[in-house]
Amino acid sequence: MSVTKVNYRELEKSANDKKLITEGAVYDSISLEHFQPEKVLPLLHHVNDFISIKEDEIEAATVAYEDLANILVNKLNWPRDNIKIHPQGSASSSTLIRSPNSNERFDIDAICEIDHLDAYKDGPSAFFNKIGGALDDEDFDVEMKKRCWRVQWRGEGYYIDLTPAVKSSNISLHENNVRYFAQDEHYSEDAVWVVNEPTKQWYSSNPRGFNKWISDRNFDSQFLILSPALESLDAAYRAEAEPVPDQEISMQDNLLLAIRLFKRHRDIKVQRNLLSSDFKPISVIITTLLGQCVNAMRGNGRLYGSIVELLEVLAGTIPKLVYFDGNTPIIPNPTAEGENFADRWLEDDHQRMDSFFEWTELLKDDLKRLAVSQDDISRLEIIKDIFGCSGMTNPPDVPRGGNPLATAIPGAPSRSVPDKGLA
Amino acid sequence: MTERLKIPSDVAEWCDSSPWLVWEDRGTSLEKSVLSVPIRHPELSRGRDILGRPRLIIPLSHRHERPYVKLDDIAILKVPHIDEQGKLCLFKDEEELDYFSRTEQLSKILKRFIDIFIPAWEGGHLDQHFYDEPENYWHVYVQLYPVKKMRKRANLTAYLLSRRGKKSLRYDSYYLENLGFLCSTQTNFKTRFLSSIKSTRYKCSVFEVPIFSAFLPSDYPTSLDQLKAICRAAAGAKETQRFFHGGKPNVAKLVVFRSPTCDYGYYLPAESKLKVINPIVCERADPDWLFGRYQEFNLKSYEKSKIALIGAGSLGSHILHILAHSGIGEIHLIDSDIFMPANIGRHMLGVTSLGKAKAIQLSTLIGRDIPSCEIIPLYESVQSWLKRTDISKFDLIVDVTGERTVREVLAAKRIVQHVPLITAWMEPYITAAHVAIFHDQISWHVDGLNLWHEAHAFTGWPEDYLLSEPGCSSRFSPYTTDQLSFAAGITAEECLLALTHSPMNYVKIKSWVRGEEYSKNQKHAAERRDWAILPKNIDAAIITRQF
Repeated sequence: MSVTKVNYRELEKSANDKKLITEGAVYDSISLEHFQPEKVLPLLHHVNDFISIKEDEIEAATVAYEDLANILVNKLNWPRDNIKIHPQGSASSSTLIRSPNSNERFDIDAICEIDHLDAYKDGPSAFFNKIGGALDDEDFDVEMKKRCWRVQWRGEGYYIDLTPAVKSSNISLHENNVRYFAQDEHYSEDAVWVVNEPTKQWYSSNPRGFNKWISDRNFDSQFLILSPALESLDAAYRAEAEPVPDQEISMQDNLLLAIRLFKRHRDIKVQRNLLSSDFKPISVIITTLLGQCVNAMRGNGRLYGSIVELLEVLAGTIPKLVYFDGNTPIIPNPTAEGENFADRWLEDDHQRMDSFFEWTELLKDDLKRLAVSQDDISRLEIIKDIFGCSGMTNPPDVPRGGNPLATAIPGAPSRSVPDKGLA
Repeated sequence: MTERLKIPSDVAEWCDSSPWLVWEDRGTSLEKSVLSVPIRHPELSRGRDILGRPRLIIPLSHRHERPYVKLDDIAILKVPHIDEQGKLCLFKDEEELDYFSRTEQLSKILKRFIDIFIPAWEGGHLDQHFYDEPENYWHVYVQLYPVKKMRKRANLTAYLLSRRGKKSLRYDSYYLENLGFLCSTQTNFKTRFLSSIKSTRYKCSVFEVPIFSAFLPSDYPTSLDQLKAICRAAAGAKETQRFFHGGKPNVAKLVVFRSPTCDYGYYLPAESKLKVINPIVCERADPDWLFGRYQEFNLKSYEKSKIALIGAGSLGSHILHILAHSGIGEIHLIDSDIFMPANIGRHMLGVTSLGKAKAIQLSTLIGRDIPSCEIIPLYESVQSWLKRTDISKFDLIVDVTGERTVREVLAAKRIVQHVPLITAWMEPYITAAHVAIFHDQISWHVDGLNLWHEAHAFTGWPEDYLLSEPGCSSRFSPYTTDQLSFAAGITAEECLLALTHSPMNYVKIKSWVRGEEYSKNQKHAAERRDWAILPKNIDAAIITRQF
């Protein structure tokens, strides 16, 4: 099914016009009076640091990539140069964040690109299973997912979702087992084919193109805030470095900050049972709508006084960027417009759709609370509450995790035999 | 200040010299017999400064009562590790304090409070600890919840008879005045549970909603809107609408949020027209929790197991008790005996059952207390039961009659209808007890051996070891209940194993054998077989043999 091209500038404009009419000058004046952007931005970056995954954990995952590549080289007899494993998704776009449940693992999406005729000549299933088979009998657990193999090391804080892929030029569009979404010409050079296991088909995909798109949109977002000290752009996040890019982001990376904070906000609402964990808005939708939004804002010449104002307007605008073709919600993949990220929204009693709009309402309310707060203390308290960072203030002098009150009483004799629960 | 309580001088001296205590502001409670001394702690930042004025509480009358730190009520449910009285739990194992003198205790408590608790609290490192014991805090919340609007009912606890599922459930159930709410979709279990509890009952409608995570106390829903918002997120808007606005208007409603670690009940009385929501405590009561407490080894539950237990005598009644309490789902109990006074000393039943059929009485009494087990009494002879029953529908037949004729008719029946069989019996004075486990094997004759004879640990008991009831020809074997429990224990253990383990291609005989010290002290003696000879200092052993 082809998806209509969505005019985001038009949608953003109409959202902006409506905002001016409904909220009017009263609310804006309250916001402006108390905004102290120079104080809020560091706080939000502080939250951002708090929700980041520690460098050493990411390091460990990086080493694991190499191991996986070596295993595939050894078992499949394809030359090393024809196997490339690199991060994709949030891990490669600097939007990877920590789960609010401290004991939950984080996942690093990786794509395993194979450029060798032997790999794909027998069709998608054979290719998918070859990779899975090669990962068997190793010192990690492997689990088959829809389009990837989940590799999990015991005792490690992460798992890797490894998606087997082949270069786009290697599969013909005319084969009968392909599902192709036309690639946006700006990003088409990185397109690949992945396997959709349940339907045994090749699906076109473009994780690297999507990353480049986020990166370009992040560039757009740097022009949206009126700032006297807009320094030269820090393009570190755009480094093509593989392993996993540095998850640190700079003060001008407004889009990346927004994506990470909004995803964290969603995760906290799930943890507080205000959003369903099964039907919560998926990251790619949040990312896409935010990216489209900043792009449209730049195109429409918007300027905001502070990051809080930008975040607040983003939260108010993204629900309005969901285009409806009749009753069908449409959020096109920006790098392959034929693909609709909202294609499951009408399933399951519309719970995914309801959940998305429920979440944006919660987000708007929370950010409004932040915008009208009048002093540093309450601002900090609100930020900590809405992003679930209560333990954030001081550098931890007590180790995080574990219960410091659960240690033995010093000097008490040790118990070598149990003396509880005996009868 | 006049002090009517006597403060030990070492305590007074220690407190007075501590830089963290404000000795001059101390107080005493004559009624509780405690001394309370304010604690001076490092200053906390705004937002964290909600401890009130912490006090060190020192009991004065009883040495075994431990001192503790008490925070003001304002801190309850805002600071983790404190109970509904404001008592702060500073140690994983408070009992360890008992090793120390009073002043050493005070020193350790204060040190832990100042050096560990205060920095951890100030740094926000304790905040997530609410997630570690969500049930404790929910109990505190329910206990402190203002009850003025509530129609006072003694029992406001919800008993959850099924495990947390993945989907939300809406159903009708009952509130029992003598117990609380009964929540289950499993009709049989619920029906038996209901008939076990004698009580006036009222209809209620229940909405069981699985939620993703336990609540922090600050996130407990406190209004109907919040309650609905959580229902909507987890169960969808339609289901939520149907529950709150569908159904009969005069029926109370109960919402149960089921997180992986804690269940939360909200009771909405019918008469309040949804204006009042009352938090209530939930208790898990599903069979997997009752009988295994979700222990890993018990994941294979016996809920679906079906056993025929032949014999409701002393051994049979004790085995039934253990099997029912182990979570077996269905037991058919076959026995044609009447309960007599002579049985009282070693049977599960007592005087209320005199003159009544043992099978029926046991099923009523044990079935009432363990409603997860459906006990079907069959007050008839084994022969007549076997004649009309397809025994292959059982997972296991257990014969504890000790009668040769029963063994024979069972063997004949098992030729045509396959089912594993366990036969258990005891030797005189319970000098030994035996459990024979047959899977595919039918006959008691294996490789020219008569297993019945081989099984025994002793031979040559004198004719008169059986006792006669005075003036009556009825005879019985002499043993006592304490000894009987060993035999019942190993038999029940084998029954449970047989339900979960794969079949064996041999007959296994497990024997409980007492040592010489025990057997020689009985009134009669018999000859001990070689395999049953135990080393001198061994009083009993469980010996397993294969045939």
